Order: sequence, then C-alpha cells, then structure tokens
Amino acid sequence: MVSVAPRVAEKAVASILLVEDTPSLQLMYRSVLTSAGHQVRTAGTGADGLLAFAQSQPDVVLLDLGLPDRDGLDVMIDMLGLRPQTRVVVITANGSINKAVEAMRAGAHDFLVKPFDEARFLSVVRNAQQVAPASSPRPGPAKAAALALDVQTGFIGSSEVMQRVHSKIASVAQSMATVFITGESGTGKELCALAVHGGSPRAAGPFIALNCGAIPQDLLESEVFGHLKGSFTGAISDKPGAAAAADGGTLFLDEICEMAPALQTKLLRFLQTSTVLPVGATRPRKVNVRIICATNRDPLEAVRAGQFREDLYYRLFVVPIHMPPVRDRGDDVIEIAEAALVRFATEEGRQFDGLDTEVRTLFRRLPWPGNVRQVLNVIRNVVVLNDGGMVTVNMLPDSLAHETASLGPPPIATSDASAQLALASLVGKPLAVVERMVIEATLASHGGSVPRAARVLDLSPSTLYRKLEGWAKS
Amino acid sequence: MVISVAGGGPDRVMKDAAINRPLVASWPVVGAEPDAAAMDVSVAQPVAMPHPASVQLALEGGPLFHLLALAGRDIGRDLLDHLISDLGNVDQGLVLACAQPDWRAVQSHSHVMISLCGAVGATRLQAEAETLNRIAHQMNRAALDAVTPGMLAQLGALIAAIEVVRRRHRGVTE
Repeated sequence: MVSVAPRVAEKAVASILLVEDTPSLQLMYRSVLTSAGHQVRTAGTGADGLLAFAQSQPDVVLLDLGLPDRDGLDVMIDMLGLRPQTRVVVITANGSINKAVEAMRAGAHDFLVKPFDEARFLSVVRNAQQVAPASSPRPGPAKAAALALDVQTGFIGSSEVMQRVHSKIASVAQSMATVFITGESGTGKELCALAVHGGSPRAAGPFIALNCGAIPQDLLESEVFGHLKGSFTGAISDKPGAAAAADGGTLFLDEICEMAPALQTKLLRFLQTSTVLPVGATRPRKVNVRIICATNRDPLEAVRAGQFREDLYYRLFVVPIHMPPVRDRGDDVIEIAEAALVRFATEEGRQFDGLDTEVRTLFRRLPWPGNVRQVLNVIRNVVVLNDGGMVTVNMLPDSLAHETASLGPPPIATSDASAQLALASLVGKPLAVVERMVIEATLASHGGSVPRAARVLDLSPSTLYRKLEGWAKS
Repeated sequence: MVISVAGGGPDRVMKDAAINRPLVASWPVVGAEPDAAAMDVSVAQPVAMPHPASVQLALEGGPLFHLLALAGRDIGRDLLDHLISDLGNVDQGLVLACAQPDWRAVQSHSHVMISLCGAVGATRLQAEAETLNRIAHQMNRAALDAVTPGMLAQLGALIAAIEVVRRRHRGVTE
C-alpha cells in the first residue's frame, strides 16, 4: 500500500472484518486500520470470513474477491443475505475491474483496486462507516444513487487537498454562515453546495439552485424574489421565487458574479433583512434561508473591476471553499476515472479491466481544463465506443489528442544537488526579498495570473494583490 | 542513516549509501513509472539479477518503511516474514507456471505480485507484473518468454532486498 498522504484522524471507530488471503497484505491492511483506531478482525478464507462475520457482526467488511476456497462474490452475497445493512467493500486486483462491477451490481458498497494508497483506503472505510447507521437496512437503489452522486460530484478522491475540502464542508455545514464556493468549471461547486446543505441541520428542507448566468437579467429578479399575478406582462399567476421556495432550506446562487448590479442591491437587502419582496408586492415576507453562492471567477477581481458590489462581496464571502481543479488533485483523477469506468460499464453492460499503466501516466499529466466533467466525458466515450478489456491510450477519444500533443516530455525530477544550489543562492537574503523572488517567479511561471499563482502559493488572491500593490508603491 | 548491502551478499553491511547511489539508477526495480519502451514486450530483454543493495536502497523511506513504522516491532517482524514468504511463493509459482505455461496460474501469481509490489513501492516491478498479467490473459507465449527472465531476476532482487530489511529489523528489535 503506497502511503504518502498524512493520515487523517478517524473520529468514529468502525468494527471491521477484513477477509484477505495473502498474509502479508492482510497484515499491512490491518496495521493501517488499527493505527487509524479501528477494531479489526481478520480471516484468510471465505469460510473463516463467514464464520467471523456471523460471530462479530461488523459494520464494514473489506473483502478480497480472489479467495482460495470460494469466489469472494458468493461470500459477499451470503454475508448480505445474513445482514443486509452491512457495508461490504470489495477488493480486487488491477485487471479485474469487471469483478468489481459484478460486485457493485450484487450489493457491494464500494470497491478498491489493488494496489491502493493509505489515504484512499481510509477514505473508503470512512465513507462506508458514515453512509448510514449500522442498524438501518440500505436499499439497493440508494447505493447505486450514492455511487452515481459520488462519481458526478468529483468527491471521489483521497488527495490531501480534497481531504481539506471535506473537512471544511463538515465544519461549516453545521453553522448558518454563508458559504462562497470558488473553482473552475467542472470542479463540482454545486455538489459541494449540496454537501454543505446535506450535512446541515436544514438538510430536510429544500435545496434550491439558481444559475444567475443562465437566466436573462430582466427575469432574474422574478426568479429570485418571485412576482404577483399581473405585476408585469406575462405574469399570469403568482410565483413564489427561489428565495421563498428555499424557506427552511438552502438557496444556492451559482455564477453569482454574473448578477446585474441592480439585483445585487436587492440581494444585499435580502441578506440584511431576511425578507423578500416579490415583484408587484407591497409587503415583504420573512424567510429563513441559508445562502451558498459560487463562481468560477475570482470574486475580488470582479469587485475591483466594478462588476460586483464590494459590500455584497463581504456579506457573502464569509466562509470561502475553493474546489481544486483536477490537475491539482494528484492521483484523484485515477480514482475518479476508475469509479466512472465501473459505473458506466455497468450502465452499458460492458466489461472493462481498468486503466493500463500508460493511460494512468497520461491522465496524471493531462491538465484536464474541463475538470471532473471532462474526465467523466472521456470515460463515457471509452465505454460507449469500445467493447471492453483494459483501457489503452488507443481507446481514448481524439479530443484528448491535442492536449496530449501539447504535453512536453515528462518532468525531470530536480536533483538534490541542483535543489541545494538553488537554496544556497537564497541563503543570506532577507526573508522579504526571498518571498518576493518566490512570488514573482511563481507569477511568471503562471503567465502573470494572480489567482493561479495564489493557488500554488496557498495564499488568497487578495493577499497577493496587496503584496503586489505594496511593491509597486515602494 | 542508510544501511545497504555491499557487493558479495546480504551478510556484509556497510553504511556508505553514496557508493550505491548510481546503482539505483541502473536497476530501477522500484521508483519511477516505466517508459513506454520498457512496457513493450517486443523490446524487453532478459537481464541479470539487479543488485539487492540497490533495490533495498531504493525502498528506503518508501511505503514499506511507513508500514513497518505503523505495524510496530512485533507485527512488523511478522509482516516482513510474510512478505518474503508471499513473494517467494509468487516467484516459485511463476517459475512453474511460466514453464508449462499454465495461464491461469500466471494470471493468479501476477495478480498477487501486482498487489505486493504496489504495497511496498516497487512500482517498476508492479508495472512489469501488470504486463505479465495481460500477457497471461492474451496467452501470448512469445511475449511470456520475452519478459519472464528479466522480471524474475528483478523479483529475486526485491526478495533479497527485503531479506536485508528483515535482518536489519531483527537486529534492531531483538
């Protein structure tokens, strides 16, 4: 198991049954799980696994599908027959993804393809233990829907950066604070908003999403605040509006920076007073709504450009969550692609054996400008246009060809010696000078883009702007 | 401190890691992703067994050592025992299966090899095991004959390297 990411403290402890026939792998998995605080019981055969299952009634079963005495799939079916609410995570080797597909069809909660890294392993276990209370049976279709949601959201992925996003969502969900989600197109901003709503005390209330960029500006006020019958031509009946419809729940305003200035004023008033005044109405109505908004632009840049009200910005930008692009998420692209391959193969009735090494290497290097949406599109294309087997570079759509061509040779790792040399040139300089050198070099390597450089430096763009202004003045 | 095995076998231990450094580049059983040529069975050539010292050095600081740290003294010792035993079974199983060839057995042993190599960070060997697994599915005898000798040599080096780690672990813990 490749262990690179720092371990995330496990808050809840699940009782786990691990059924793995290769002794060293069994010990490795057990060590990782116990060090994360889980209680683990192990078995090396299907028969022993079923016996241990009946005795210990674990919350989660990690089940290798290639067992010496029985087909792991049959073992899983027996376990779910005894205790349907158990979450079974099947483990299979690379090249046997069709077995994982079969297992998902037969009721598995999730799957792991060996070899997997520690962060992914613990993330899958954490999801399995959190997906539902152990006492409540889990209906089959819900599982498929959950998988679909996972695949669509881009929330598959155990990279450190996504762990931070998960952690932030969990922290902010319980509060009423306004959440401002930023991120490129296709990174899963709306699903991040759904996750905040889903984890909040108002999860049972409505989640109303409105794309401010997709609705003509003259209709947007009516869409947000509603209208009364006859208030304007075409208003043939009363319409409550998104803000009123979200009463008791969450209103998600996507592409908020595209909102016209006049409506921004009304939105600010709505945020300050928690009342809505439908078009044509004379009396405001009080509503209880949590606001989440999102944009794929740099909101502060929109403020500077005079396109977005500064007072509204500060009212909305309470808890920012940045959804990272796929290219900054390390091996998440592989996890997303594999999960999508399983799901789409299931839908299309095909059997695929996973991604070959060359495809994995290529996927890690591609910039994925369309992010998760693009990854899903590529995998859908592969599944629809090919019969099955291992996914090779030849199966990838032509649309990837120009991106592939734009890639240079694989990056050459900086040697220790050259790194030492670079460091030596900085020693003796004041920290402020070193900071400026690093920032300017980062900006230069990102074509002068402040938002991109800020992301790389793990700074907010506003901090970077302030520093640049300070240097310009001096 | 990096301890690695000097030429002559795993019984002699020396501390000068720098001497072994070039060997790591020469025998990439672990480390970077293989290039396309290395994955192409038509160009694969049998190679001599890489020096275990280089393999062991390349394992330093990788997933295996992280796992040993997580496992603690006693379980870490068991883990190394089982790892050597499991890799040895794969080695012996592949020798027999490839000779016949028994394609199902080659598939099965290469599956285990993929998992084990991935788990300890032997990524190059893992990629070769994936190639072997594909060859077994395709039942391609010529390709099997081309890749097996070199891969078994590298597997032998990995086992020898983990044996060195085991001895060192025992030296530390007993």
